[in-house]
Amino acid sequence: MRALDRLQTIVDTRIDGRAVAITRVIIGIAALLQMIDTAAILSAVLDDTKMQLPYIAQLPVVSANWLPLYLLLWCVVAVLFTIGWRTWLSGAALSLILSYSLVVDQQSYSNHVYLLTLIVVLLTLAHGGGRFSVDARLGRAQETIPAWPIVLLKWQMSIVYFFAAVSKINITYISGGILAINMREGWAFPLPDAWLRWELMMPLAIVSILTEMFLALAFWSPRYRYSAIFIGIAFHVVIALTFPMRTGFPLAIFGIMMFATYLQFINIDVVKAKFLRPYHHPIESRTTVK
Amino acid sequence: MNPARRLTKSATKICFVLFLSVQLTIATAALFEPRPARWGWQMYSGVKTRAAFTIVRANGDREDVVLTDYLGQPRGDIDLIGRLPGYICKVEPDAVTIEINPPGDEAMTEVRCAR
Repeated sequence: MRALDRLQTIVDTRIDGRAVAITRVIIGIAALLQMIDTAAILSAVLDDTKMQLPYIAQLPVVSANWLPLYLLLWCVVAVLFTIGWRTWLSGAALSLILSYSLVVDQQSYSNHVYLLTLIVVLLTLAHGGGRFSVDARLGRAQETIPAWPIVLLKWQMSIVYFFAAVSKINITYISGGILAINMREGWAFPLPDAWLRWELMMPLAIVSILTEMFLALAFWSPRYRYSAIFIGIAFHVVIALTFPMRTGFPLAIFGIMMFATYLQFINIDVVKAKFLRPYHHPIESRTTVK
Repeated sequence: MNPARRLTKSATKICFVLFLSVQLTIATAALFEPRPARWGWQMYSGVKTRAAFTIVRANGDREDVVLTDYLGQPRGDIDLIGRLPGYICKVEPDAVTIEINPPGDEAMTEVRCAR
């Protein structure tokens, strides 16, 4: 099929909105958690006794006095997005709020906020509030949604894993040094010093690269998809538990975001049929004799 | 198909291709930057060694700069060489010179505070 025909099909197709709605809820919760992490960063960055490094000189900077209001707005909009109230509006507003935190200062850049912003934009474009939402309750339900933003969301997930893996192919990372520095101070499971040797850290670094590359590709194969979900969840849980708290919390949020995107590769009806079959009692019928 | 719908479909196709193109282009370009580069999904892929700064005061005292005294979140991927010396000169009235020791083999340079 020619690429243009394939593109036309993607643009014309509509898909079941349930998985996207569940993703919307999870991402809304992730946005709330991210607010906590970003609050600490912006409090430090926007301190007017410190140097500021704006990306865009003309962009108004939220002062430390107005920061609580900005964060409250973030919180309110994230809740509205989560519950699916006026999702077009709350999603657009959340996207703008997240984008602002990315560009207000060079010091506040975060890969996780960048990804969160892109996901919120795509979910908003996909009419993510059409199911399991206040919008649906109030008569604005949409059984099906446009497929093209979700195709982009799936591609975005693969792009993140792919470039995360490829960028790690360098001597510094493969030596295991970066993992050793971080895992020595793991908040839940700090590695003992005896383990922080290149003989252990280098293979671990290589495994992490291979895992990310696997996750970039495996979701597109029905054969490996469910293995990828399991491995992806385990990968992000291990990272969140073995890194220091200051990075473990944002990494946990990152894991939640990636898990939310995994749902787009799942057919909910297949999962229901496979894992939620009604329980059949071995004695099919009884008769009661008085 | 009515013209408005046709236009919408065309715009959607353009946005789709643009989104993917931008994501792939930026991330690929970032692979040619020192690690970790921004906007390229290079989480934990490397460590950037920062330049070190020293304040030389009017009374001759030398003091190594602690970045968190002047920056809220001194990320390793921010180039401070062009901006930090001028800021320190502004906030430290008795600073005469700011010495900059770049990472690697580059020679030390100085910025004189204009008074």
